[in-house]
Amino acid sequence: MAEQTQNSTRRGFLQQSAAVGSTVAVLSASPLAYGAHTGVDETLRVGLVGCGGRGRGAAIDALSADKNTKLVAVGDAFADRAASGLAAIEFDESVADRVTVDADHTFSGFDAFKKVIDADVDVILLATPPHFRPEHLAYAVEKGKHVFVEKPISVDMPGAESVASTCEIAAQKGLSIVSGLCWRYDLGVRETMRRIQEGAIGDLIAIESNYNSGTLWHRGDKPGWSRMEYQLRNWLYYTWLSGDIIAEQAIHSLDKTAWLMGDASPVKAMAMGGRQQRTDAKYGNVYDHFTVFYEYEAGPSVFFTCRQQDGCTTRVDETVHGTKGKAEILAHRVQPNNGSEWRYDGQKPSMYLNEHIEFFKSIRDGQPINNGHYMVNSTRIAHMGRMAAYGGKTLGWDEAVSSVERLGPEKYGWTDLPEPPVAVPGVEATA
Amino acid sequence: MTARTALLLATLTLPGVAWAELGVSRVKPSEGRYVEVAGVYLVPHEVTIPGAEVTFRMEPIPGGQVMVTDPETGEVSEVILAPYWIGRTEVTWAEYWQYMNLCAVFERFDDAGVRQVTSKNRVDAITAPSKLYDTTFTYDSGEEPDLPAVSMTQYAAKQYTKWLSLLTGEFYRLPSEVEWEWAARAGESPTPTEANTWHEDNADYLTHPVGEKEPNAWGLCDTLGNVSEWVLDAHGAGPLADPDGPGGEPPVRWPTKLFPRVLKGGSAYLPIDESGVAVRRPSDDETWREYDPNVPKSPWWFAHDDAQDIGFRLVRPYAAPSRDRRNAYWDADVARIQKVADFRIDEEGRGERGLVDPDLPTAIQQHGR
Repeated sequence: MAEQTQNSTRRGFLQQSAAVGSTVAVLSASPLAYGAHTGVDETLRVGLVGCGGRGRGAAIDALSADKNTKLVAVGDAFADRAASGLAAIEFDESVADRVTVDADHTFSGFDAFKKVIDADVDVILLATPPHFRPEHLAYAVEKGKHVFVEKPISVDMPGAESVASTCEIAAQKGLSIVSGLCWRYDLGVRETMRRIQEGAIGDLIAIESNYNSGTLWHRGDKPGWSRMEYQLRNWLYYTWLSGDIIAEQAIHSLDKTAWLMGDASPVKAMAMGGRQQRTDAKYGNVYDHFTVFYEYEAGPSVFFTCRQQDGCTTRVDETVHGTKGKAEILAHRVQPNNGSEWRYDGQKPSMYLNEHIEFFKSIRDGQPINNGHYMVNSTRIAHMGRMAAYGGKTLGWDEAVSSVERLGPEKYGWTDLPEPPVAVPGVEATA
Repeated sequence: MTARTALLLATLTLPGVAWAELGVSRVKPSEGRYVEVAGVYLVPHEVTIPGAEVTFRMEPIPGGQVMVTDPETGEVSEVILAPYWIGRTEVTWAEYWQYMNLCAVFERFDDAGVRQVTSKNRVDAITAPSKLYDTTFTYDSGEEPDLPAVSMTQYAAKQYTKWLSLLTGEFYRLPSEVEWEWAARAGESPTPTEANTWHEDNADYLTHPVGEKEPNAWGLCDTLGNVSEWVLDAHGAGPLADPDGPGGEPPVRWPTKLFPRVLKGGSAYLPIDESGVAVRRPSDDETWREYDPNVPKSPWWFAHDDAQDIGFRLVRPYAAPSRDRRNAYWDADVARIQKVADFRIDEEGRGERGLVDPDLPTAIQQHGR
């Protein structure tokens, strides 16, 4: 039997230059004292808030991205999740020796985030359900921490407004804010975007954007769980916790369309949506499909769909139509009308790891990254789509972003929170 | 008859060995391929998956003495293969979906409180893969039913063979490396050509519907390309033996760690000169899970462009081991794999555990929809 070198000529190993960092917005040129890690080889102390699957992944990515880091504190609303989350991180042999979280630094409860942030950390990873993000981010920036912040950054417009203000403060303080909109850190997507923006398919006419996928997990119900606990453990299915599927999952697609539009905001949206497959009460109040037509002042329209239904055709990508051809973003394909198709042949390192590599480098170099503008804009675009679908009426941007409706209870506690109703367009637009 | 072949036939009469009936003819077929074993004839046959209008085809492969070169030492040894059937093609999406969809089915069984897995019946339970979070990494070549199923881990492929076995009552498993290569050689060791191989230069970096290329002499398609196929063996050194098994089992270089394991048979992403029957490809689970954002990363799926040419095909031996021995072919062989699967199911609700028996299709009709 002949031996074979590992994937010696596969596309992933072909050499091609990729513009690393070219799309990262650097807002602050003169970091103040908070950018205290500039050029220093000191150990960066990392804290994790939200110990679910994604939080654990972010922690391992952070520790993998910069070898002179330690995970020193974790927090979760639930003590069992904090403990099992920590165990799962330690289960990764490549980082386990830099996980130094003892029982005194494993926090639970709704105020666990404060305890993690106050535990003498330099870097905070925010990975709770999105509802809590604005409050957590504000506290982290107030305390002068560099933050990795998962998407979406809020579940409502007041939350997005809060995050926008926090990001301005972070810029003034010279703190890095890196968003979990990870496709911005994917080398293949960056190169595809660059070619489109350089005119490979001419002027853009329209973008068809789809996040049509299957259904996701459900963690069941248990005797003894308050309804608050049930909702939190199954947070995907509650608009007040997740922002619905359009924000929680499909924001990746909306973010790519926004990127194509130069991170401008649409002027209006007409939308529809509902729930056809996930009608059982256990699925809370979120929809299982949306269609949104976003209209921009100038340039192409965005025709967007997202779906979480089983047994249906799936598609997750953008088809970008231009005056001189078309392109697909995740497939990394650019097809001019006159000319041969281009496909990305370069390296494909993990975008989840790459964003942490750039994040930690920005801290080390004193060149803070601040993804505030686009993470707020893309989250607002998602909320605008949800509000237009729930309400059943065409919605203008100014009207949408000025919404003062805050989703979720005023106070957090293990109480029997009522089940929120499902929005009925044109009748009861309850979010 | 050589002494070794006589020994082989003697081992086939050991007690505890189950004899396959499906695909066995008592009379010599007047046409078509067959493999004669001790007065019976193993023949090609179609199998319909119970509860689904999905079929696959198995081709009989003769046993015999096979010369094997150790990839590490170059040492040549002789092994005995018992006769078996192997899939004419790679397992397709149409077939794999029947297993994949069980995650949603078992979830509904849990809601209805039926067919619950307990410590007593867990030996007959499988784990069903978590639902696809982002199909980008799975359906790059499309989701047509006749495309080969791809991106699954070896553990998922093994659980598939457990599901199919417990559902049908027949014993299916992954091939051993020697079995795979013996079947792919088909007595004439074909050279990869444009006519028989989907490879880097003619496949457009896409997998293609199974069975479009010319079959080998024993009727197998796509052994030389399209997707690389899981076999049971570890990649690297190790004894090529299965001393604990009853007679009729293949020699396997059993893995003791997660990777690398062996994948055989070129792919649509690989150059034609890496499509030969002898080529072994090492798995790289760490890289192939890089685009999985959640930890612990899926034990069932690889989320990476580079794993979209990973598939498998089925084997069914003529003489099958006893029931308790079969789990060695189906279940996690490294404790870490099972630990991660249990964590994903019990802590995260991603993936499900469920019982499989011939009544499963009826239960799906009653409760699962």
